[in-house]
Amino acid sequence: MTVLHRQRLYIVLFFILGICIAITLAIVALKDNVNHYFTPTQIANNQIPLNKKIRGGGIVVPGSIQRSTDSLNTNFIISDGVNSVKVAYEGILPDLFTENSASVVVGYVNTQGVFIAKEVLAKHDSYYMPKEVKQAMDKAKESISKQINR
Amino acid sequence: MNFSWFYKLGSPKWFYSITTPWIKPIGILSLALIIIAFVWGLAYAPADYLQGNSYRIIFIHVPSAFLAESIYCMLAFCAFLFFIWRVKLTDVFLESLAPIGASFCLLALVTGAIWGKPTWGTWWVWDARLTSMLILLFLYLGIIAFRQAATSRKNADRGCAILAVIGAINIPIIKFSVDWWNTLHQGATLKITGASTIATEMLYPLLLSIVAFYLFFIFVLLLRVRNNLLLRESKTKWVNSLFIPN
Amino acid sequence: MFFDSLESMLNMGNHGKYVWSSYGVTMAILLWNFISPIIVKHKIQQKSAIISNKTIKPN
Repeated sequence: MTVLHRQRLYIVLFFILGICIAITLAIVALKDNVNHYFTPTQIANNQIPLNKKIRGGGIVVPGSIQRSTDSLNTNFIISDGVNSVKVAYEGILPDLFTENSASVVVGYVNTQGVFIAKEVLAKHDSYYMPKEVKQAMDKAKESISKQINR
Repeated sequence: MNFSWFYKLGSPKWFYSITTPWIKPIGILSLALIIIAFVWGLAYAPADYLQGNSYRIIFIHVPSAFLAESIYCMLAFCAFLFFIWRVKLTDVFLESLAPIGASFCLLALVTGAIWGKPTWGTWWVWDARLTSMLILLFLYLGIIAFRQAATSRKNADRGCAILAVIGAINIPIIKFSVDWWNTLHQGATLKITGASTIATEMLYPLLLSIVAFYLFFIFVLLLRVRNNLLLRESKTKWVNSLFIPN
Repeated sequence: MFFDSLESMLNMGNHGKYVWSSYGVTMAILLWNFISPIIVKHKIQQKSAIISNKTIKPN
């Protein structure tokens, strides 16, 4: 490598290093803002900014969805396996919103620790399969858990 | 180490002549594969148990997102080689890759937004994955804009090269954003090591579509590179000899 | 075929407008990627035809 090439290489590496440091600092400074949502554990431990619109995310606990019959009010609970948060929402829910699947809620936590959601989004996992495969999988899981419980 | 054979290999004239017989076959094959992949994905693949038929956008969203990132990696690699060693042809590849990459990045963002509405319930969120992809689009547009604004071809090549290399830090951020942070966008479905989390009836048309898109990319890249070579080398004998009528 | 009729394929179970508009945008972008360099190539050929006509037939 000639001297000129080495010089150019050093210039490029210097700039790359500089940008890496700058971005690392920026990410550290943003910290929780880079995370799209807080987990129920973070909400339970009060690690959230107060009086600010935040997002919470977790799995909708089976059996916790309570839909009101005469209004668009829905109450449900999201959990991350360790802690749960009660959510109260008024509005139309996305098609994919269902129990045992993940959801992201946008709003704020009130003084009773209930998350008042202005917006509810459904999150889905990275699994794609046709209906028949899913039904076969669920049946297999059911029979395995039956065997374990015997 | 004597690299003179490598430098001879990179000559514009050599590249132009060696790619000439490949253009039509690659173009026709990529068109055929795209049609097969689209028909397969739209009409023959089964619906998803959860998302129904909206998941069929995967056959265009995933290939275009992959391409948007891969093209930027090539761009950054060419830029690196050009800036330090002035490797032949890297400058013309640098010029040709940017608009193609920008268009596939835009396609990934638009198809993603359209897919998000019926599934997540929103067109857009500022999570790490979507935001870093938008930044990628801005990087592409910045490189294209810089080339337009530059006062000479030399300045254009050098400036674009620096921009491209510096922006490369965004690529691992895009890739690992869904792992490092809580994002609305889910994690990876296709895995290189280990089983992909997608049924085979859906996986095969997806893989075909990815191959078709990459082949199409090579086709349009060759079209652009050859044009740019002709324009850059317009004063040379070999270019002028191409256009003298018999 | 997964779908029973053309109508059900266009409707895609209420997701038709999302799926078909996505594929429409895709075709547009693929087309642009193809047409854009073709146009440039034609311009180059036209320009060099003019130049080579000038050199071969002076006056």
